[in-house]
Amino acid sequence: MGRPARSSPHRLLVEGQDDLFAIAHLIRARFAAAQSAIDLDAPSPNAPWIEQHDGLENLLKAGNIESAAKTYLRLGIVVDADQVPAAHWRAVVGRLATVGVTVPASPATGGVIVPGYQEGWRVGVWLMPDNARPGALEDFLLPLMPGEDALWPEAVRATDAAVQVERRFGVNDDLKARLRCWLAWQAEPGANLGVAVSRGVLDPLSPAADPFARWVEALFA
Amino acid sequence: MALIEQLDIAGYRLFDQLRVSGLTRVNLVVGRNNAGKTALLEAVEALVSEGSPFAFYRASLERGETRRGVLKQDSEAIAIDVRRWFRNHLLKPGAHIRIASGGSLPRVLECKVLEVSSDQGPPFVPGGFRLDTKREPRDRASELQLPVQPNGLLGAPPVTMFLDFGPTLPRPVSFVTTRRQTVTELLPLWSRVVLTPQETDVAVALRAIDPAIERVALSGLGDEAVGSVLLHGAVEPVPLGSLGEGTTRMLAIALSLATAKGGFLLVDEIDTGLHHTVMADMWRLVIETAKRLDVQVFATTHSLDCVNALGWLVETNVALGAEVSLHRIERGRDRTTPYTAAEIAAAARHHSELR
Repeated sequence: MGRPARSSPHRLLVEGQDDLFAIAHLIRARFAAAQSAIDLDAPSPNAPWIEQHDGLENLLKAGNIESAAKTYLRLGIVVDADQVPAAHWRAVVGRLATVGVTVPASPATGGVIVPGYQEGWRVGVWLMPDNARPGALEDFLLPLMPGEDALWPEAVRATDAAVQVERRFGVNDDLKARLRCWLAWQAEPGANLGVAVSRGVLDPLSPAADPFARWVEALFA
Repeated sequence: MALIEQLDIAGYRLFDQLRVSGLTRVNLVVGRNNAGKTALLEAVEALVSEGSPFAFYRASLERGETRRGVLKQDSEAIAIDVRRWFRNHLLKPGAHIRIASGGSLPRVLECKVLEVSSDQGPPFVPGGFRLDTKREPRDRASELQLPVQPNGLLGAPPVTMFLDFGPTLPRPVSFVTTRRQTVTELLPLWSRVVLTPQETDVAVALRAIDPAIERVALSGLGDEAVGSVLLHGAVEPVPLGSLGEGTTRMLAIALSLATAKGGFLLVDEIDTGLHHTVMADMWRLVIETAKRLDVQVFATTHSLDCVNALGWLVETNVALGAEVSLHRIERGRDRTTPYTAAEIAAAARHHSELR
């Protein structure tokens, strides 16, 4: 996968590896075709270097967001809403406030983009899946699945049956398990979310991803 | 000791206005070439040393902004091109340099260019300029007037005027330039350190470069000065020069730090000659010693290894982190961007290029 240089003045902070690869492939599929200014394959100064933090807790550690806000002309931050959208939003907003970047108290449909640390700089925040509902990357990716997929109801049933035998994952992780169960039955069994997006198993061009792509374009292009 | 917490520089070299805030005990200044990193050190030196333009004079000598044999009175004398001190190299009445510190160590240094009036005799020259300097806090001699030729040259004689202008209570200031220092240059520093508790610090610093170094000594006079190093298990010392550039550089930094007790250490391109593997040790020694000897440090670099080494060090040593900050200068911007220890560490973790 072609990627922008680490020295790019644009950066996107995400929680983990899954976010990194899923988002990278989505951006690649969306913007390469259009010869866009944020093509991840072409050496473009607009393409953000995507930086993953091994979890939200690490991402929110003092220094990470502040340092990035002071360094990059365009900074995007993507975090999961999980079950507490307001709390995660506040945590990110609080970090940005310490360096003088003001973000609205609540997320907005379509994501938020505000003036950054220096004049002409921008900071964007996106709360997965859609800046409104609780959830995570998987909730964002689920609508990218082809409609009326024959195996999806089976994956749901199989996962639920397994839980009946023994629940080994958290009560909020049902979708994560069902989606990976479904991925286990694709042509490339058990491909990770990034590969699924790159192969079109989860369609990066689905209209469901339009709002996120528009946010990416508005922030980095 | 009181530390400089904020610095304002106006009119010196490329700076129109620059505010540097969030300064701590140890400050690393980064920025691209020609962003003004060295000029920032020079401005600090001028403010904290004599509180006079003598630091600018020395800076011009170091930068080679000199001309020889152009002043009538002494064909061999070195003259300094004062135009270089001012923005766009423009020396004209009204041009002025102002450097001020804030926080618990408030000081001001102002240099203003005036026309030479017809009633002023030597050393002022008709058609030339008068460089008026004022400093605060005011003490026994807080005003100085320097004669500048119509072509912008300042001759050697004013040096004695600079000395008379020295502050009542000077603080020690050490400036380590990018140039490789000779044993002759280091000898005066060594003579102030030898047989003091700081002599041990110097040997410890050198062990960061080569653990086999047991003792170091400088001796001799003038150009005959030599440096000798005793290595572990060796019968005879070896010449300092045989140990490579890093050893001499570290010696220069360690001696300058030891002799700056209660004052200031300014180091231009602190990474010069140092391998990336010793950079973290260098930082630890500089920060610990600066804290112990009550020295405020300003250093520059454009080495990413140097910035990252500082980041990794403060990541694992929170106590040292409290003493450290990084400041990025960007050309044309009126303030530097300050980074705390946590932010430097974050940048190092994520390969963020702060320099």
